[in-house]
Amino acid sequence: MFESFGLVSFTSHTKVGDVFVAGLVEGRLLASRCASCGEQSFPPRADCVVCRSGDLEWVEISGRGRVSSFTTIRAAPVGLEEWVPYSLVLVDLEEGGRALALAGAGLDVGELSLGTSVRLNPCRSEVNDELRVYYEVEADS
Amino acid sequence: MRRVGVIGVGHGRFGLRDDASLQELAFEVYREAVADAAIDPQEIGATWIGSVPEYHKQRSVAGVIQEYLGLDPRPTWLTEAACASGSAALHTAWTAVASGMQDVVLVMGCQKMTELETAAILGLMGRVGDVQWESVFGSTFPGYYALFARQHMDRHGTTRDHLSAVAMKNHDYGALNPKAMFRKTIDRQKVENSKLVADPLRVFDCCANADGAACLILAAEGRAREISDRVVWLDGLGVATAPMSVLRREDLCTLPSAVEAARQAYAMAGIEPSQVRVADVHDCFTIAEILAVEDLGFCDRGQGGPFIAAGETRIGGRIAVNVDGGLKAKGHPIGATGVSMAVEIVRQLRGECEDRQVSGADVGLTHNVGGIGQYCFVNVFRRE
Repeated sequence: MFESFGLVSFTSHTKVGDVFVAGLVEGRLLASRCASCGEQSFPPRADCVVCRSGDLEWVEISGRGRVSSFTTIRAAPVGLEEWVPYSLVLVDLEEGGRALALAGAGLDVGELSLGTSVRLNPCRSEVNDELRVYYEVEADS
Repeated sequence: MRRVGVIGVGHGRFGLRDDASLQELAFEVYREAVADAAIDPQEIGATWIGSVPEYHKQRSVAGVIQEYLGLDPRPTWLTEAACASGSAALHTAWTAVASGMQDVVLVMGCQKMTELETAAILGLMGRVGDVQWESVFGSTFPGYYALFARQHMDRHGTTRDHLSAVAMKNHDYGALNPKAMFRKTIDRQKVENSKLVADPLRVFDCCANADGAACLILAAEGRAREISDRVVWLDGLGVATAPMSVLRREDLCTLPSAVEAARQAYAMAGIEPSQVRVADVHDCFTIAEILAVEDLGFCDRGQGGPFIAAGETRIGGRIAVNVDGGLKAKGHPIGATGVSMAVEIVRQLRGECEDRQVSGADVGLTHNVGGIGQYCFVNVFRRE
């Protein structure tokens, strides 16, 4: 199921794929939490880096955060040519972890500065009957 | 452990090398290094080859190169650490000699980056980051360094002028290096009018893919002294890793792997950063050289931009940095780069660099980064 995550896909199988993608389909952002020691991670990971446990729980996060950095890509790799120029925003999430995501249509990158409050929004689209799920960065209203 | 010295070096012309195959590029520098060391190549006990395999159509290139060099049946290995693969080869070869396992070894860095079709190269370029969580949104190499640059500009006041100063300096010295890919000086307008690649980085903030090779012959101290009276000693080595994913980096104004590798290398060599006279650092993008001079302790944190713009890293300044043109003007054949840096520093310490010679250079350093900092190797070289 994870092959539907992102604009292009390179990783088809991951232990955290099904639940994470199902969350995005429902409009929810999910972080992993170690059932043994409580270490939380976004993006999620199947194996706890602190205590090495493989038991994980899922927790929904708000997606609120602050801009850590951003750029506008004008030379795109294969498969993304029609998206150029597109802006990528690195977001420090309020509930821990970080995300690199596309700037959404409602975010004026020209006005962006580091530290600006933003929100990571779950998104889904059907392109030629193919499901794509991802998240975008929008202004925090 | 035994002290290890460099007794021979070879460096090929970097750039578009559609005149030669990978093993032919390797042979050019092998021939030069053997002549430079004036040894019988039968003395070479093993070969370490730094090269990034996904750019080559030939699979398992180490064996093919060893065969072409005529060094069978002695063993060879490929080391891969992205753009630091050459330094990985040097580091690994050093462990074999220092431990007593080998007395004389060959370190080869070589890469052909123009062998693949453009589409295949662009495909590879789209997978430089963490492919699970980052590349899926179209992250690129310049894109990552752009994120670093933006944060450095915001926190430390680094400017467009500072970035341009790096590019201009490295082209000034590249123009003096007969092995460099670009042998032309550039002015501020040239840099600042070049196309944006990933804001704020422009085309002239980026190094260029190149073909090329470079080679070192190492020997244990006893044998090195018998062979040569101009040995350059590899007296400090540092190597460290950091998360590949930018999502797991606390601070984008530093490469933590570089700071740790530098700490190890300085401690092992027993020197302070201020004792380094000449350095080759990993300027894959202009901002990367600013991060490097800070991470290596050549200037205060956050002051890399003004330090370089004031000329402190030119010959005659406080420390000469990338006076071979750096990756920016010399070109960046990724597997060869780490070895190329070492060759340059050895030649500087021997006093062979002619019109870009740093006078009195007795301690030199290389700083070679893999990827966006997931690997970093720092080496300290010294002449007696």
